[in-house]
Amino acid sequence: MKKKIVFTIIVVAAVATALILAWYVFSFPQKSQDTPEMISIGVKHAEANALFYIAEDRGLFTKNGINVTMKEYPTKLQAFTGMENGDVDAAIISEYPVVVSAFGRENISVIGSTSRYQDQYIVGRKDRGILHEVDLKGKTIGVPFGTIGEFYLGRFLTLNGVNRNEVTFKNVPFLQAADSFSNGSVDAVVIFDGAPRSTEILNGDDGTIWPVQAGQASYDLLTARNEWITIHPGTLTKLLNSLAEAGDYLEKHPDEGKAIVRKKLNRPASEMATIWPRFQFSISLDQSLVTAMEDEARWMIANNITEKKTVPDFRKFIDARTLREIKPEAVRIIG
Amino acid sequence: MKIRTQFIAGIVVFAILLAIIFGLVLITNQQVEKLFDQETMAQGIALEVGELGYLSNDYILYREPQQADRWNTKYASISARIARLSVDQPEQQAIVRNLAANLKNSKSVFDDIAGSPLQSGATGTGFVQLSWSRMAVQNQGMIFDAGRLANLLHDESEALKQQRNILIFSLMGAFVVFLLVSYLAFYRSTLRSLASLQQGAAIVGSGDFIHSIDESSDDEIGDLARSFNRMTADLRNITASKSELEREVDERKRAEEDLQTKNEELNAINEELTALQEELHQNIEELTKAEQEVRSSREQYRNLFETMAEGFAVHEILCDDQGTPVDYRFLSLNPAFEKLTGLKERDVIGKRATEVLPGIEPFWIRIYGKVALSGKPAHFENYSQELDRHYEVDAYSPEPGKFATLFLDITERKRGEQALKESEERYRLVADFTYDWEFWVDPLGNLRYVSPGAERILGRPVKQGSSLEELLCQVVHPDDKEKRLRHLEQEKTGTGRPFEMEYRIIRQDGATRWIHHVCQPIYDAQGNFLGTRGSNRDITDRKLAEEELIRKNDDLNALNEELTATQEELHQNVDELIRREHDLNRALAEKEVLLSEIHHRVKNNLTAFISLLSLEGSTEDTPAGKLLKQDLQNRARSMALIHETLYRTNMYDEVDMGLYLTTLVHQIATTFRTAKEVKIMVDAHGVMLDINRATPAGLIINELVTNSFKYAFPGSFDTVAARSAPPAIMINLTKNDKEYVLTVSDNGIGLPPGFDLTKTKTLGLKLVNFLAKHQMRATVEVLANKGTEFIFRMNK
Repeated sequence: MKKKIVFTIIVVAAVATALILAWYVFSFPQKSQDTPEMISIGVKHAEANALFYIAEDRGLFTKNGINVTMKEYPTKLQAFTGMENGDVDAAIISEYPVVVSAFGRENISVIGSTSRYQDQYIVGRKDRGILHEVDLKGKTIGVPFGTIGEFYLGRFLTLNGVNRNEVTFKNVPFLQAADSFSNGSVDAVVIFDGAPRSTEILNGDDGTIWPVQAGQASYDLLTARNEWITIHPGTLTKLLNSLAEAGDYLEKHPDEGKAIVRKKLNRPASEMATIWPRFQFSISLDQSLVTAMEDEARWMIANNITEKKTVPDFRKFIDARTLREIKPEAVRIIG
Repeated sequence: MKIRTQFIAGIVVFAILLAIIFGLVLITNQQVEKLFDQETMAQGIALEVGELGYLSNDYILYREPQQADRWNTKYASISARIARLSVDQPEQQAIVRNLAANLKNSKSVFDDIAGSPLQSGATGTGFVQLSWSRMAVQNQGMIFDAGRLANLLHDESEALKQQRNILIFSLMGAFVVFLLVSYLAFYRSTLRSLASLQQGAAIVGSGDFIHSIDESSDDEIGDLARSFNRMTADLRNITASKSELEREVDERKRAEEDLQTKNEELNAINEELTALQEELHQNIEELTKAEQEVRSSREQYRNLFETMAEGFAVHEILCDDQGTPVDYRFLSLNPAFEKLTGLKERDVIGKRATEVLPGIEPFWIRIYGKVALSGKPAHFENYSQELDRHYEVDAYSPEPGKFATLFLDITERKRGEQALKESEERYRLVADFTYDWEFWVDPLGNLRYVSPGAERILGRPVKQGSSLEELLCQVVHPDDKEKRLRHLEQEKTGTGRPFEMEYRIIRQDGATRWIHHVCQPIYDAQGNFLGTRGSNRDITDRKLAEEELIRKNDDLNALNEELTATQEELHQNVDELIRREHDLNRALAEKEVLLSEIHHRVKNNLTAFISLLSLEGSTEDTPAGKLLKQDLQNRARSMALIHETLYRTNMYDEVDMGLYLTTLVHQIATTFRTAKEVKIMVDAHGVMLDINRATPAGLIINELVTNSFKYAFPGSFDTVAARSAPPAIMINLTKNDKEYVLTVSDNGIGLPPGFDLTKTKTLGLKLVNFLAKHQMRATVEVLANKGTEFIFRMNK
C-alpha cells in the first residue's frame, strides 16, 4: 500500500512538472541558434516605432535571428536621408518624403507601414465666430506653405464646401502655430499633434477643432534602398516576422504593449492616454496608402512643387512581396 | 470503507477534476480565439470602412474611373468581411445586420454620386460637399457599428476569460475541499484506528493478554485488530501450562547454578594450588640456575685469576699496638703476580712483606694500610726500588684488615714517557725558535703545543691547550674555511697521511696571508695515535711572486698570441704578396708574350717591307735607284733586327747590343760585295741599351757601316799599304759610370777634306746627325786620323 502511494505521488509530481515545463517553454520566445544578422534602422524617437519597441522588449528580434539597432535622428526626414546615404539599412519615415522622392528616382521601396494615424488638426478661434466648418469663409487660416498640411487644408475646405478663394492663407510653420493662434494673428490654424504647445491648444476651450486630414491617414513607412532589399531578402523576412509578431502581441495585450512603448518613450501616462488612441499599429500595406500618395503627388503637381506633370505609379515604390509572403491578409492594395 | 478504496477514489476524483479543468481551458481558449478573430475582423471592417470613406472622397473630388474601381473593390472586401462575421448574441447580430444595411446604403449613395454628372463652380463645390456628407454619414455609421461590435466582442471575450478563471479556481477549491474532507472523514479515522491498534499492541506486549483492541472499524485496520485479538486469546490459553513448566525449569536452573558455583570454587582452589606448584618449580629452577651461575662465576673468576695479565694478590695488614700499619702478609696471589714481580707464590705466601722485600718503601705499607683499615679503594702509580719497576696499582679492601691489589707493570711506559718528554723538550726547544707556526694538535683537537711563530703569523696570541678549531674559525679566510676545517677532522682522527695544503688567513690587522700547511700524524711506540704535528709557513711573498709570475706569464701568453696573430697576418700578407707576385708574373708573362708578339709582328712587317722593296727593286734598272732601295732595305732591316733581338732574347726593355750589332753588321756585310775582304769587328759585349736608344744606334751604325762599305775601300786605295792593316770596320760600344760611348770606325780612305757632319747633304749622314742629337741625345765627334772614326757619347 505504502509503495503504491509513493508511486502515485511520484507520477502526479512528474505530470505536474512536465506541464509546468511545457507551459514555460511555449510561453517564452525561443532564441534562434544562428548568429544574428545585423540591421540598422533610422528612426525618430516617437510612437511610430511602437512595433520595434515591443519586438525588442519581447525578444522577438533575437528569436527571429536578427539584431536590430535603432539609430535615432531628430526628424523622420533626416532618417530618410540617412537611409539614402547608406548610414542605416532602413528607415521609418512618413509617406510624404516617399512621394517627393518618387518624382526623382526609383531606388527606394516601401516595405510596409508600421502605423497609421491622424495628427493634424485645424483649430478655429471661437471668439472669431468659428463654430462650424463653413464659418471659415472669409477668415485667415495659418498653415505651413509647401507642406502636406497645406494639402490637407485645401481638401478639407473643398469637402466642406469652402472655396479656396473665400479664405486667406497665411504661412505659419507648425512650430509657430500655437503662438499664432493664441496671439490672434490668424483666425484658424493648422496644427499637428506634437508641435510646441499643441496639447494646450488642442485640449483648450478656445478653439473649435476638426481633423484636417478628412479621413486620410498619415503613415509611418518602413522603407529601404532597393539594393539592400535585393541583397537581404532573408533578413527582411525576419524583420517583418518580428514586427508582425509584435503587432499580434499588441493586439492581444494592448495594455502591456502600450506600457512598453510608454516606458521606452518616457511619456507621462496622461500624455500617452491622449496620443495612443490616434494610432493604429500593425504591419500592413493598405490601398489608402497608395491613394494618399497619389493625392499628395497630385497636389504637388497642382501647386508647382514639382516640375513633373504626371502622378507616379506608386505601386512601383511598394515592395509587398515579403509582407505578402509572411502575412498575406496585411496586403490590401487593390490597384 | 477500505483504505485502498478511499485512496483510489481520491485519485479518480483528482483525475476527473484535472480533465475537467483542461477541457474547460481548451474549450474556453477556442471560444476566446474565435471571439478574438471576430473582434479583429470587426476592427478590420472599421479600418476598411475608413479607407472606403477616403476612397469616396477621392472619387468625389476627381471622378476618375480608377477611384471608382478601387471603391468597388474595397466595398466587396468589406461585404465579404461582414458576411464572415459570426456572432451569437442578439445585440451583436443586430449590429452585423446594421452594418450590412449601411454598407448597402453606402453603395447606393456612391452609385448615385457616380451617376450624377460632373459639375463645376459653386454648383460643383456644393455637390462635392453634399456627396461627401452623404458618404460620410454612411461611413461614420459603419465605423461606429464596427467599433461597437469590436468592443462587444472584446467584452464578451473578457467575460468568457473571467468565467473560465472562476470555474478553474472553483474546481481547484472543490478539490481542496475534497482533500480536506477526505482527511477529516477517512484519514483521520484511519490514524485514530492505527493509534488504537498501536496502544493495544503495547499493552499486550507488556503481558496483558486479557486486553482487547477495538475492532469496530470496517477497514484494513479493523481486520488487523481482529487478527491481533485472536492472537492474544491464543497466547492467553497456552500461558497456564507454560507457568508450571517454567517453575520446574526455574528450580532446576537454581540447582544447576548452585552446582556450578561450587564447581567454580573448586576450580579456583585447584588453580591456586597449580599456581603455587608452578611457583615452587620456578624457585627450584632459579636456585639451580643461581647455583650454576655461582659455580660458573667461580670458575670464570678462577680462570680470570689465573689468566689475567694484571697481577693480583690478597694481603692481610699487620699493625703495631697503636693500630698503625707496619707490615702486611701475603695470603694469595695469581700467576701474573709472579710474572710481574718475579716473586714466587711458594716464597711469599704466609710471609710478611718486610721478609720478602726487606727494602720495601714505607709508603706502600702506608697506602695499603689505609685501604685495609678504612675500606676506601686507592689507585696510584709508584716505583718500587726493591723491584726496580714502576707499577700502576688498584687497591681495595675485600674485608676489614685485608686488602687486595690489582697492578700492572708500567715500567716500559714510564720509560717511554720519559723518553718522549725528553724528546718533546728537545723538539720544543727547536720549535720555539723556528720562524714558522709549529703546532701539535691532540686527538681532541686541542693545541698540545703551539710555537711562538703562530703569534707572529696570525698577529694574535695563541694559547697552548686552546681549541684549534676555534682558532681556525677565527682566522681562516671564509673561502678556505671549509677545506681547512675538513682537514682538521683528519688531523684529529689521525687517519690522514702526511698532508700538505695551502690556505689563506686573515690577520687581526685585516691583512690576508697565504699559509703553506704541512702535517703528519704521530704515534707512540705502541701505535697509539697521539695527534698531528704540523707546521704552517707564511708564503704570502712567494704567492705574490707566483701571482706576479702568472700575471707576467699571462702577459707573455697574450703577447705570444698577439705575435702569433701578427705572424699569421704576416703569413697572410706574404701569401698575398706571393699571390700578387704570381699574378704580376703571370701579367708580366702575358705582357712579354704580348711584346714578343708585337716585336715579332713589327719585325715581320719590316721584313715584309724589305721584301716589297726587293720586289720593287727588281723592276728598277738605274743603279742609283737600286742603291736607294738597298739603303732603305738596310735601314728597315736594322730596325727589324732590333725587334727580332728583343723577342728572341725575351728582353723587352733593353737590347743586348753585342748580339744585335754583331748580327746587324754581318747582315749589312752580306749585302755588299766588295773587291777586298773587309774585316768586321764588333765589340759591344755585355752592353744593354734601352730600345729608345738602341733603335737610333742601330740606324746610325747601319748608315755608317754602309758608308764604309760603299766609300771607305775603293779599289784604288791600298789599305794595307796605307794603314798597315787589311780593310776593317770596327764597332765598339762601351759604358762607364757616366756614359755610353759608341765608336764606329774604319781604316779606309777617310772623309773628304772639310767634312762637316752638320753640313753634310747626304741623306745617310743627315740621318746620323739627326738621330744622334734628337733621339740618342749624344754628342758626335768625327775623327779622320787613319780612316774614319765617329764617336758618340751619351749619358746613361
